[in-house]
Amino acid sequence: MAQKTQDDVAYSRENDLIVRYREILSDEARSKEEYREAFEEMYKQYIKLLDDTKLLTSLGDRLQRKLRSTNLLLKQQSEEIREINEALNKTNVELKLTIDELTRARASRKARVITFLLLFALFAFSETLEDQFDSFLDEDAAESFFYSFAFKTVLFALLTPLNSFIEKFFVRQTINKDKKALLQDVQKEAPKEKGTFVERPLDRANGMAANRS
Amino acid sequence: MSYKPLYINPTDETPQVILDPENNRFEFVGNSYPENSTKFYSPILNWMKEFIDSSPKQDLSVDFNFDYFNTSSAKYILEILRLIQDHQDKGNKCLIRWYYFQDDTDMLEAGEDYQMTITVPFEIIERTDTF
Repeated sequence: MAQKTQDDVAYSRENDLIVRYREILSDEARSKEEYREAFEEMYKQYIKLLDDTKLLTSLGDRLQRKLRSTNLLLKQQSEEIREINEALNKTNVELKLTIDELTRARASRKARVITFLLLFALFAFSETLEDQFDSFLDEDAAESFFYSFAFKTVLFALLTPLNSFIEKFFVRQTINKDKKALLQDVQKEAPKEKGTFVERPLDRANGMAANRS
Repeated sequence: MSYKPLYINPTDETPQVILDPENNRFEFVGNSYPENSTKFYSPILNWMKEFIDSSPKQDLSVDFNFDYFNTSSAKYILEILRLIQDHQDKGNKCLIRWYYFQDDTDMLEAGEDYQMTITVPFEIIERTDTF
């Protein structure tokens, strides 16, 4: 007799039939009629078993197909998400560049105004000083003109480096202001779930600074 | 004889099972792809065999509400249906209700296939809500 295992629970009918027919086969005392009846029963059971096999194969194929189509759909959706993510990243980079350019333009405008105001103030001051200088040193007109011209040339030469220095100052100031604002935003936000990615504000700010340099 | 009901909570891989003769609730709901189908379904089959072998005079309405089941579960579902058939053959009224989610032609066709294997009244019902 076959040893009963846990598998027998699902196949108990089939196993019971096997046991039964084995007993009949091993019993030589059976009549021809009994063998015939057993054989007929076996034939019917075999047809049933074949139908069950067809059913389970058909079900198996169908379930496999369902799995496969779900898998394909998931892959497709995954690809779509990846493409959207790529597009978003690209837009994000473009936005960052635009913001940086705007910041630089704003700083540049401010720097230009301040540079010109400063130079104008220096120019006006120099004109005032010139008169004082002339009366004090008692120089002739040519020398006086030379000193005046040299001073104004130096002022003019300082225009570009001064403007650049002031612009860089304002750009740096804006970066530091952005960093502070981002840090404050992060500190205000609620704690995230474990495992959720959180972009650090300094990373964002450093990214902007990297783009500007 | 009152039978102790069998309740099995659902997991991601195994269905909710309710076998409660007192309240006439016999339900299989969810997904069925256990790592070890024999281990999961043996207690269920044994319970049903004992119940039906005890020849209770009780009408049976059994609900099958699967989203997905694997091939080995299919074999066990077939055995459960055969047991219900045996119960009907003993003179009891039985009814099987096979639910499938709308547009899930695979589950619909699976129900139709099972319907052909037994003579128990077999209703195939479309559901529109998730369980």
